[in-house]
Amino acid sequence: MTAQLNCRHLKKSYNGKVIFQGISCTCSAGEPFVVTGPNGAGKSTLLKVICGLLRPTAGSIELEIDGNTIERDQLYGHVGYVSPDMNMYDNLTAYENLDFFAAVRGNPMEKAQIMDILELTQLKEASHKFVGHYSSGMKQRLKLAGALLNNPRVLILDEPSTNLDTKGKNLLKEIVADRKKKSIIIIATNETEEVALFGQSLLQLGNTPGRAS
Amino acid sequence: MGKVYCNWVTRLAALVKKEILEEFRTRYAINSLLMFAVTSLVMVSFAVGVSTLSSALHASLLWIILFFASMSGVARAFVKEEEKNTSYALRLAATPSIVYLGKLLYNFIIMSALTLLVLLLYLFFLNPPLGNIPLLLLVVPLGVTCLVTAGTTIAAIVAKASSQGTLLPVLAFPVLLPLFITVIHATRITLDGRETAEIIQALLFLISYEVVILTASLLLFDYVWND
Repeated sequence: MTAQLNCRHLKKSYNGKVIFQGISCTCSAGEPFVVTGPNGAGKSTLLKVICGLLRPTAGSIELEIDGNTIERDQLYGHVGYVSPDMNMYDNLTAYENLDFFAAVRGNPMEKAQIMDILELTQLKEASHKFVGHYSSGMKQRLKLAGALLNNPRVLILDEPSTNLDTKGKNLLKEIVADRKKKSIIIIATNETEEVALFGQSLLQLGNTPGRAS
Repeated sequence: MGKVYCNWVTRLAALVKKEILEEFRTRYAINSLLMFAVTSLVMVSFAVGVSTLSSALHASLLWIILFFASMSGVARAFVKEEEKNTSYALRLAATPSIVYLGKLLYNFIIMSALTLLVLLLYLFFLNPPLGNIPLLLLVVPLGVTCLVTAGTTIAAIVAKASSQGTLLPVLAFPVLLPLFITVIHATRITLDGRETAEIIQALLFLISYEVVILTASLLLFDYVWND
């Protein structure tokens, strides 16, 4: 059960403006990988490129799971992603959201399995409430629940503690500690405590936009 | 092979179920489609009064109503994903072909119900001649299928743009013009009650149009959805 993600010479630019370039890194299960840097350094963009939501301007990303190479356009179903830019469906309940995402991935889950994930993220009691009625912290925990569906081998967490209270932050630490042996975990954060806690490998994006330092 | 097919159908069904569930809870598309269809039909019937319209005018009015009603509903399919920031989650979970076909199927279900209602209201308010009913029941669903397929693809392209309102008619006009010329011509012939042989070419055109648009959409949707 090995998983490794190789990024080689990644570059991303929009309309000629370079967001980052020359990024090469290897992320493995067992060693959470932390991306840090000032606002505008391109942390979120890098994570979107890695999980396949954006195409890199140059460079390549390759995921290797148990000796099998998975190309960028085959990443569906292998990646769990949490981001401030991503929302769940407000007009569905938390249970319906998770049920939908599991089914549309081609891995429908039993009700008990979904309820287990909701219990893990402390949302079991509110599982039949519409997500639109959730607080921002509950929505963030639901995003975490969504990212854990189908046991993804790559877990990408962009500012995962946003809107979380102390209890929620502890939950996040537990999830990372529990998943880190099985999954590649990549976290973008500026929280000093998280960098110290999770950052077994660290990528510091530079002050000058467009360069990894 | 059977398992792969079942899996594919399950994924498609999950997306269609989600779309229908969301729609029945917000009723955004249903309400806007219904409002447009009913108000436009009532206005036209008042404007026409007791005068008798030619079958060419009836065919044109029917398709103008169906076109604008469809644009107000079908266009929402992708825009709502972008507006509510749900597209990232969907893109990571579903393949582009599932997303496109799921949205297409959902739009088709909504538009079929709307077309049935518009036809009934049109008969009630404007009393058009019904020369060849079986042929009319072939031409209208075929035209609506083409309209929904092209509309769904244009909606996907427009959803990524910042000026969605102006881009939609600009993109839709050249793509839908040949469809409307043909379908209005075919509808006129069926209302006149003329022979089936007279619209064989139109029917063949509509089938070809559907095949071309659907194939091109499936091939290109990956780029539209992911870039």
